[in-house]
Amino acid sequence: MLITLDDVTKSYVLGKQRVTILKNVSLSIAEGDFVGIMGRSGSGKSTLVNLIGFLDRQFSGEYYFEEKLVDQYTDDELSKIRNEHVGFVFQNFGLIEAMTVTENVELPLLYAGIANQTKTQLVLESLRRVGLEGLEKQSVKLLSGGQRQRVAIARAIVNQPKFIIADEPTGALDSKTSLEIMKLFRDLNINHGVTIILVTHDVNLMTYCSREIKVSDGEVSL
Amino acid sequence: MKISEVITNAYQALRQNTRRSLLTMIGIIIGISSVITILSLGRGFEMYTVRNLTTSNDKQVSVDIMFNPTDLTQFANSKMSYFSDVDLNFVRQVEGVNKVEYVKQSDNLLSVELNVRNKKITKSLGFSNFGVDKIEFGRQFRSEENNGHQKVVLISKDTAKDINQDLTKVIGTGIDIKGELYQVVGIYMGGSEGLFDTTPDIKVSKKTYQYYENNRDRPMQIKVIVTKDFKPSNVSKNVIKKLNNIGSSRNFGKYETFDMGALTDGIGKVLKMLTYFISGIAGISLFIAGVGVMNMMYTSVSERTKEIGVRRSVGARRRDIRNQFLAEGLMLTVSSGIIGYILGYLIALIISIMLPFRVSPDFFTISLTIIVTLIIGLVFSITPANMASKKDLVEILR
Ligand SMILES: Nc1ncnc2c1ncn2[C@@H]1O[C@H](COP(=O)(O)OP(=O)(O)OP(=O)(O)O)[C@@H](O)[C@H]1O
Ligand SMILES: [Mg+2]
Repeated sequence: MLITLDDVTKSYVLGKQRVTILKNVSLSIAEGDFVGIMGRSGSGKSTLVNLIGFLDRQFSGEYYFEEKLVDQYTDDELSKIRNEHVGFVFQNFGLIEAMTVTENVELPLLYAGIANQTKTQLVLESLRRVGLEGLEKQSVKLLSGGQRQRVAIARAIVNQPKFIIADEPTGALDSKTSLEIMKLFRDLNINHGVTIILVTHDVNLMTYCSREIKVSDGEVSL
Repeated sequence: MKISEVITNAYQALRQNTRRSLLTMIGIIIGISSVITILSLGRGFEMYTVRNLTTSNDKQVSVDIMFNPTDLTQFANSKMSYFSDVDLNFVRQVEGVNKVEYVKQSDNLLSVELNVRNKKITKSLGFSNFGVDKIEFGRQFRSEENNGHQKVVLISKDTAKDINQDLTKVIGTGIDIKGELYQVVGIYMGGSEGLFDTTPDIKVSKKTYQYYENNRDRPMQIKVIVTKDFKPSNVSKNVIKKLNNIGSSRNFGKYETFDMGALTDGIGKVLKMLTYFISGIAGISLFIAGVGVMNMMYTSVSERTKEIGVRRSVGARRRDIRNQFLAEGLMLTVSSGIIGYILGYLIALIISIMLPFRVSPDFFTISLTIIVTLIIGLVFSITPANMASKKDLVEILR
């Protein structure tokens, strides 16, 4: 099993109140899965995938990544895993506004210490795959919402990750472009064995998924 | 992440907010440049005095030892001289002494008083470099005059005019130098127009002058050439100790070293005070500038929390984030240091045009600048950088 959550509960303390966002979540995701996560706004989908992506370590319960308790990984080790094996597409894109498209996309490669030539090649290749060739030198500030989203996707696939966490990756895209992005994900999933965890509101996209996870009010039903 | 990438990254981040960066740099530039100005001048002055203290042409360091008589009767009428050949032999045995020789007063540039039409005028006396003076009237020394100790002199045009407006009439007149009558044979160009013009007013042949002087003068001083790598002050102390123990004149006075430093002490002291004063002010200004750097780094960190989160989520470790902000702080302070150094050096260079010495960049001030700015950069950006690296990921990714 790639990912196993066992009785995971996530809660925030707001003032004197304790708000529980995820309640006793147990689920597992195998390598090669294409998981779709659905649920109403505010149900806790983003909270769940951030937790799965090792961005959030403050929860109760047990999370095993590759059969090892995530608690036992050091912060540096998790950084390395994120760097080499995980691709994130954030709901708010998570781009650095002051930098160009290329600079944003090559970030994971910088921290991986990839040689310059390979780096440029990989960046160009993933920009081509999301249909952004020609925008390499463009500043992110000047891009449209859909273009930004595709830059975020390009960055998520540039390090050839083992699994991709995509939080509403097509929210800002027209139906044709979002179809192409889904085809890209399916290609990565089928031909390269990349595990994909996709958060979406769009029921139509569920046809691409091999599994579905429903989140409602912090509770997960498979 | 590679060092080169960290550096370009830091540069881009600073360029992102050019105005803020420049404003932060100003304090450091002012602090560093004022310190460098005063230090460069101080060092230039120091080198200038050291050069003057060691008058020998070669780079050997020498100290002058003199004798200060308390019982003058012993030395009246050439009964006894201050230093003897035996003394010189004693001195030679002292460790660190390379060579010892007598110093005749006549070796130095002197001044003479001339009696012109019942008026006394003071003129400087120097030695003629045989044959190089540009003669305007009259002639050069002849070699037979030089070898035969003929009492002949060359004088400057200005001096000649003081004696007689009609220059042709000056040739052949006699000048009284220390009781000996010298005949003017030539008049050369130049004289005491410029403040730093060191051309003497009257030139005699060294050989002739010494011939007459040495018959009269007793050696007042000895010159001790110090062996390389020995400290001149230590050697002179030992020489004086030995002479005060066994020197031929020990019972009639004291052997001392002539403290050339005392001459330049006045300016030296002022310069030292000024150095302390300006360093103090610069220290305060650097501290304030450092606080400015810290302030800027804190602002930068809180403005860029999202960037930190993004970088962490794609694999930056805590230390990568810390290094990134440290690099920015260091680049800011060190580049201000370099600019401040160049500025301070240029200011010192401009000031030194009005002074009799030159400044030059040296290893000490350069490394001082780099080290000071590195320390400021480290001290004042380490806490903001650490704060950046410790940010909680979920909090900042909202
Ligand atoms: N840091 C936090 N502090 C307090 N409450 C939080 C925090 N983060 C999330 N929440 C709360 O958790 C709940 C779930 O948020 P989450 O972002 O996971 O929803 P979501 O399912 O992704 O919604 P959407 O579809 O709109 O993106 C929300 O009610 C939100 O207010
Ligand atoms: Mg969400």
